[in-house]
Amino acid sequence: MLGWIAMKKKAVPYLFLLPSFSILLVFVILPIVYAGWVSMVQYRIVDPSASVFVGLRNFERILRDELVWVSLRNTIAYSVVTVTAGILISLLVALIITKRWFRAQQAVRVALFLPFIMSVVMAGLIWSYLFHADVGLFNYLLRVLGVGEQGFLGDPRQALWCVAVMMIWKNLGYNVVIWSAGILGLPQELSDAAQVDGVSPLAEFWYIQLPLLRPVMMFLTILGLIGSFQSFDAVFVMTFGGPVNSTRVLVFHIWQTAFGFFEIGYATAVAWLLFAVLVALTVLQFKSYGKEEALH
Amino acid sequence: MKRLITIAVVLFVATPFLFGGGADERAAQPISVRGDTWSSGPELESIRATVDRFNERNPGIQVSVEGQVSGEKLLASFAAGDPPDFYYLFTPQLPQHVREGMAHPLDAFISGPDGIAIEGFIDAAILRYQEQIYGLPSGIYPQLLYFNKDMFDAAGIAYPDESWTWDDLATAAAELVREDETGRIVQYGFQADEHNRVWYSHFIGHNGRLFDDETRPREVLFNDATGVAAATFLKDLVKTLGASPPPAGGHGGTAVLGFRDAFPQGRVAMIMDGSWQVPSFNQVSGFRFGATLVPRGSTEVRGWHALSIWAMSAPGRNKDATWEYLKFNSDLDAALRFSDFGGNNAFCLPMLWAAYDDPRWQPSDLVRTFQGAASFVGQEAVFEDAGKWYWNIMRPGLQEMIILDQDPQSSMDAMARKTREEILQEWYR
Repeated sequence: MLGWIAMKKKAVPYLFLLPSFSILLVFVILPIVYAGWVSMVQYRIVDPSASVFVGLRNFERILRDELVWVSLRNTIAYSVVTVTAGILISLLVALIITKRWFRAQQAVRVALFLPFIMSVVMAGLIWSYLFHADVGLFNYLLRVLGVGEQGFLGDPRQALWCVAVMMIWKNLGYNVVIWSAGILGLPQELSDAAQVDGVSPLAEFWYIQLPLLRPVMMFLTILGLIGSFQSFDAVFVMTFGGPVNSTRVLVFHIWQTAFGFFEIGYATAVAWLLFAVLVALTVLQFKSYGKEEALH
Repeated sequence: MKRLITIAVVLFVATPFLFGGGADERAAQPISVRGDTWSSGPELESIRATVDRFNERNPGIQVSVEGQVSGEKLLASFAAGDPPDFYYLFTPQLPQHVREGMAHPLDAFISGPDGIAIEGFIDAAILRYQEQIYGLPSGIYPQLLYFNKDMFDAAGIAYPDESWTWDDLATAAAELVREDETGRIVQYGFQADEHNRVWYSHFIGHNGRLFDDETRPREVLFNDATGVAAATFLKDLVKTLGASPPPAGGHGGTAVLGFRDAFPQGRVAMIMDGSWQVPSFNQVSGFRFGATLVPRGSTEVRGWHALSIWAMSAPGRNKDATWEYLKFNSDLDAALRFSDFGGNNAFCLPMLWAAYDDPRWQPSDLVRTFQGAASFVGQEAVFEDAGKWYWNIMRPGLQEMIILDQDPQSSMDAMARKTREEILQEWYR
């Protein structure tokens, strides 16, 4: 009897966990396991039970598929630029608007945040017309200034960076809000002490504020990389992977392979490649920040 | 006991009224047949008009058609086990649909006791793959050469007509280029579509062959002199003559003004597109345009045409009822109505030869200029992975050749190599 009561007591916490775990199981764990199976078959859409097991052939095909590596290269380049520039610009903006002398801090933050709540499709369409080679505002301004027109989204050397600019603009507000929260959370006495000691603003930022803001930077970097590696809708709306595959990113390639060419199994294998890259990046970052924390 | 017997008798008497009448109602319920199409606007209205007529005459079968169904939604419906009974099929995807068990061959229905006379159809309108018929069209939408009448009038150039060759097009396009005072081009003579189907029209018009066997290719042929000539034509329009803007990057032409926007906005004198565009251009107030056949090459083939093909769904549960609708949709009356008896609200041509001799066929002046396309159209290439070849090899390859100013022969050779490595070899691996 006492044993039964003890067992019941031990089981109660797990019963409370059961609903969340069930959701995790159904929407996360089982789909991952299923995706593992799908990546090793020639998947049949109408009758999945008729799918043919091919083992690692889908993964072996990745090595031969030039477009996968083109897509991965584009994705890495796009992510590095978007995240780096996004973090740096938003940090600069946050440093300015969190100064005591800066008025209308709230209004600016709200205005900067508006693009973030806009859908990527809407933002992409707006910026497509801004970048439009014939009727776009940017080329109009370049003509007025007497500078030569640019191809922008029609130039394979520029198209990817145009998409990156749009995403940097769109995510700026979110990054600024996070940076601002971090900056405003810094102990004021450190800044006061630095001023008393005659430390320059630049030195104060570099030696005092920035090290303390490292967790914020890590958070934004990891989230930014994960988000940009999974970028699809901006490319879909603005360039559809062109011109000449210059904006073809990995998720676009996965989408086209699965839904355009019905190669669900192979597309899933490529999705596993994306997952592996993201996991590797995240682990690297955690280790890198962990080492720096240890040094300090 | 008495009460029990009474209840039993009442139930016995009432049962037929409770269930027998319901059974009759269930037996009388019509069979539901569902179709999916990507169509919208006038074409969807025409389809639904056909459906309404069918439903009136066939109370035992009720057909419904859902419009604006994207490829992803169609795929999801098959994957979810809720496929339509019939659907519009994008021609290059047929091999995938067959491979995945989505499309059902129609040969048994066509040749069966309730069949139709397939020889009455324009042959190029029938969708065949691996010697089986998989689709019947509602109409034919030929590729046309559209031209801006005001621009031609201003330049003093005669309108394009059926006698035009590809060289005539290039010459006129060069003459129709206009610049502003700063030297910036404000009007192009011609704009190729984003998908570079102009290459394909030029290619098949000169008897080009993509492969040794298009249903089961083993050898690539399109990088021969015919293919290179088609590529050179495209490149010369842009680079040598300056008569055409470079290919747009996006599918909707968001990089440069897409040809479907540039033409009605008066930025380009000529484009090549399907006849389904006519209603859109008609809506532009004050826009005077004409249309004629695609220029002729060395053969009678004048461009390819898009088939609005109805395919029967393989997992569909009501195949006999579906065939009744597809058969209804394929008769002379339906063919003429869909083409609006010549009023051409849907702007397609009838897919039956008999329609052109029918007194009800009274084509408008515009349609009269291109109704000859019914005799000369080619068909889009249908082979395994045609979509992949088109989107991932030919389209970016031709774009790269033009934008990066590459030699056409080298570009075509590179596309041929990629086709062998990424498509042909994958089939035989």
